[in-house]
Amino acid sequence: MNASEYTEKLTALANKELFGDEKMQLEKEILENPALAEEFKKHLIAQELLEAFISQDLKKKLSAFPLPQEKPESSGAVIRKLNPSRFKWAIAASVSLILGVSSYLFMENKYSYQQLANNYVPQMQEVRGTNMVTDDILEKASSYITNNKSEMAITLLTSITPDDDRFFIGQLLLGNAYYQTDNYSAASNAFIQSTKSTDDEVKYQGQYGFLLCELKLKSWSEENQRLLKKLSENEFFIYKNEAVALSQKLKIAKYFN
Amino acid sequence: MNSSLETMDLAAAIRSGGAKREQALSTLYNVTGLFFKIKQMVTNHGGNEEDARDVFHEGIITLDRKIRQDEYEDRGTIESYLFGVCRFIWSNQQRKNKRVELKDDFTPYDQSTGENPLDTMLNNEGQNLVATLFNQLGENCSKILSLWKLSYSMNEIAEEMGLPSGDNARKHKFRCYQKLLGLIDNSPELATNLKNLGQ
Repeated sequence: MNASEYTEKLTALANKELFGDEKMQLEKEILENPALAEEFKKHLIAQELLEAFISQDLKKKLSAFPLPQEKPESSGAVIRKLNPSRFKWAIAASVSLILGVSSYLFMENKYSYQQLANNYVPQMQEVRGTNMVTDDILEKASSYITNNKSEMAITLLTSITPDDDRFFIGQLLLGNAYYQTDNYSAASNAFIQSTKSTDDEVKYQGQYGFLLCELKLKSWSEENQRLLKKLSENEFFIYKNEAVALSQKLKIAKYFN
Repeated sequence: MNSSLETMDLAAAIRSGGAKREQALSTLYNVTGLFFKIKQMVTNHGGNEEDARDVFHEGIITLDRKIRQDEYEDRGTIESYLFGVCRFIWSNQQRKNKRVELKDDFTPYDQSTGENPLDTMLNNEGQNLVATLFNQLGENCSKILSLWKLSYSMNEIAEEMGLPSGDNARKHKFRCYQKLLGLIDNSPELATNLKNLGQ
């Protein structure tokens, strides 16, 4: 092969366009010839540079695009109308409890309630008399839950009426608060309410909370098992991994019951 | 999906390159609700809307590259794969920034357990280096080579570049590639930035 032919072949190999015997032969030559190996390295660098250039170009194009439509038509207005940072704390608190409960059930300290609560301390705000708006109620309630003051959270959350579009988030928190007080029936009811939310994240977390109640109430069923399986396979459920772990532990537990 | 293109077709269209790739990426970008879910994931883990947009864009860039380099397996939907990529990107960024300790165990998507030379390239210093190098290469050569890398045929390249024929485009591509190799020879920083390449 002359120099030009080598260049063509090395380019093709670096660009993953060389196959079969031809590829094996050239790879063998590269291994045996350090000068050729050096030359091939340049071709690999060239390919990486082109990839980097393409990525930069795509990045520029994407930055010029308007952000896509945010919400599926089937979803409601719960999230849209809620201040995102407040929503974050509300959900974080509820999730921390759910995960904490999960760890309690299965004696795993990794997700102990306290540990999670420490990582999700909400920004505290003063309560403005008795005229708290729903966002404030959610924020305050979530802070009560993370501080183990569930009764106070329950008092606040039960004031949110079903006509309020934050009702379902409130129910999710209420489920957590009741759970903390060992009132699993009431927790289960609240979680069931939250599963009616049109927001997927609230719905999935409500379903997971409901399943944990079912375990506590010793009413685990095949249907629950199917729901857990669905959650553990749901890429959009933010605690999918927890659901997978729970599912696996339940399988093991089955042998001992 | 809100498009005539089905999920499997999207990966195939990206793989085939050219105009189909651009159309597929545009379709994916606009899948209803996908950005919303990514934004939720990011804002629930210490980020803001701007972070979410960056993660979304990086996710699409990574997905595009994975598909074109045959590192993408058609398992599940492309949206869930992209969501997984974005989760990984955000969790990785959070770990680097140490702004928030993530307690839920983000699972890295398949094949993405470490940084590759391209990731190194895409850090700020690397980006400057790439920009400088392609400036030296010139606009036409940069475009011809990137079209070639994106699997455009020589005839398509000729059409895009206003060249008389595919053969002519092939000659241009060869010369440009030689020029790029020459620039690499004269750029010792590249060797430092890509020290793991080819080993």
